[in-house]
Amino acid sequence: MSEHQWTAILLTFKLAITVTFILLIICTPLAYWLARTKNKFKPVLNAIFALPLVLPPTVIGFYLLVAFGPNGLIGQTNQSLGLSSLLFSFKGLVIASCVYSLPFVLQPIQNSIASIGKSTFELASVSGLSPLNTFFKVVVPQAKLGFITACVLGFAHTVGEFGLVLIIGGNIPGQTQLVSLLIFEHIEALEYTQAHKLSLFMLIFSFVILFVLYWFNQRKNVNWGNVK
Amino acid sequence: MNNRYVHIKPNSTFNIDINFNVNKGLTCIIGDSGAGKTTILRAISGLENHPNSIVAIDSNWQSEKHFTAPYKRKIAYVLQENNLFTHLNVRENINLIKADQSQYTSLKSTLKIGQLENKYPRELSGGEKQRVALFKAFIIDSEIILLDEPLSAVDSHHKKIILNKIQQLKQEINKPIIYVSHNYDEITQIADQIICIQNGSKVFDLPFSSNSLNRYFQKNEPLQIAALFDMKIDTSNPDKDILKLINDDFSIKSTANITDTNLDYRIKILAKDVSICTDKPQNTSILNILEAVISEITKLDQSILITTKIGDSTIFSLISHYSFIHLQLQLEAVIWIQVKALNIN
Repeated sequence: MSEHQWTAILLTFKLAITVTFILLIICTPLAYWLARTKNKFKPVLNAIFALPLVLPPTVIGFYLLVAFGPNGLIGQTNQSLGLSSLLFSFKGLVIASCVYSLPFVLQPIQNSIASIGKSTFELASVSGLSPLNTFFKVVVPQAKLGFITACVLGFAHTVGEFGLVLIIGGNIPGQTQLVSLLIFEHIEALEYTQAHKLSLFMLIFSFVILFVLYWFNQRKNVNWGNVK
Repeated sequence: MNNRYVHIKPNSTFNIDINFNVNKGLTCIIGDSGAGKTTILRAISGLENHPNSIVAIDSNWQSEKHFTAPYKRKIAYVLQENNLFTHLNVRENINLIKADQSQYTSLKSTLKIGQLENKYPRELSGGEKQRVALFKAFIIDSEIILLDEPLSAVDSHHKKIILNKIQQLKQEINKPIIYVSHNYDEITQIADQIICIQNGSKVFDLPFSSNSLNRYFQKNEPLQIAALFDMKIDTSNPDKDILKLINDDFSIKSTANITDTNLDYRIKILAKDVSICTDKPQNTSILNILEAVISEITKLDQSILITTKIGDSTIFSLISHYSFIHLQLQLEAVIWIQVKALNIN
């Protein structure tokens, strides 16, 4: 593979790791709250957070483009703070990808916490465990599978973006040119060998990551069962 | 000792109004399903908030003005189910709680916890889970022990051992225990105070007394009617082959094999095991023949319940209609009762 291609691969992984990390931090408390709350706005919030699952990436891309632009709310705030534009930058890609991949991280965590059940939380409190201790000693271990699934899906989904990153990032080599965009460029230039190399790499990578997830999932079930 | 007091008031979901002291060793709460027994325990632990309730054990956990979060209340609580974290094995579950070491070793062997330590909850039977839950409840550093039908799944062999252990523990530990149960045998063995509730209100509340407790049960199961006494071993008794137990009113003999002579033992005499003679029986194999006075005669469906008194102690006898007419028994008559069997815990 060419240096050009390695640059795109490394950039893609850097983006995916950054996005996964940020989403874990945002989604863990959010998922915990959504899983446990009886707030009447919960269905509305669930629907909003699930939107990226169903919307075409171009729709999200379009609105973010407008928002990031010089007349958009985020763009103007950014400008008044004296920061560089988010459009066609790595920072912009990170924010856009966080929006796009949010449900893939949020939902596995939320579902696994919800499946822990009220009685386990009651047992924790009558055992004298503080909320923080309950979280680290009970919730995290029992929802471990949800956290692992969230990481894998968040990472993989970010790697697999195309439309959104094209709109927000442009296709600037070394800055915003991700693997998926480079493959598209190769195809347009009829460089099929190059396109094939990168595509095969992505195919194998995606398979391995999903295989590891499902293998782990099954092993975990055998071990102590995903606790209900 | 300060006054340990509980007053649970209604909340939006459950209409309950119960108050009682929990100073005495073991308080049993009995009542039909849905009467609110579990609700009382949940309110004491803080799992359910019943506004304006008062929960004051050694610390003041709840009053009109404040509510202590459940995890800050020092409680030992055996819930009806799910007393173990499924992702931890038995040892890890036990290590998760702050333990008071004083009873650790003896309880561990009584409840046979050693053999379960490396197992995960899903590998345990219902009875084994309850044994571990009880172990946790008795070693956790707490002000009160709440037990919600803790022996419902335990086999009869272990149940007997565990009840004996609870009977012994409640004398050794200076903590109130609240025990919710349906089971008559469990209650009579260990209760110091009995609270009977119906639809969230107290029907009666009494210090341990065979008389009133039996009134609750006699309409349902006459064969279960029993007299109960807390008795001490008479250590001055020179006869090694026979055990002599005494209370303020009378003494009885038993061939039971008891090693610890310092404890109080609860003696249970079933009414069906007591027969009545109008003259003192001579030359009989029965060990315990006591002189008593008839204080009450109650007609039941199948039989007659004779309540007799020896001093302040009450012993019941269940006899047939035929015998009752044949013996011409009357109130205040002095008779002899023969105790055919007794149960020592």
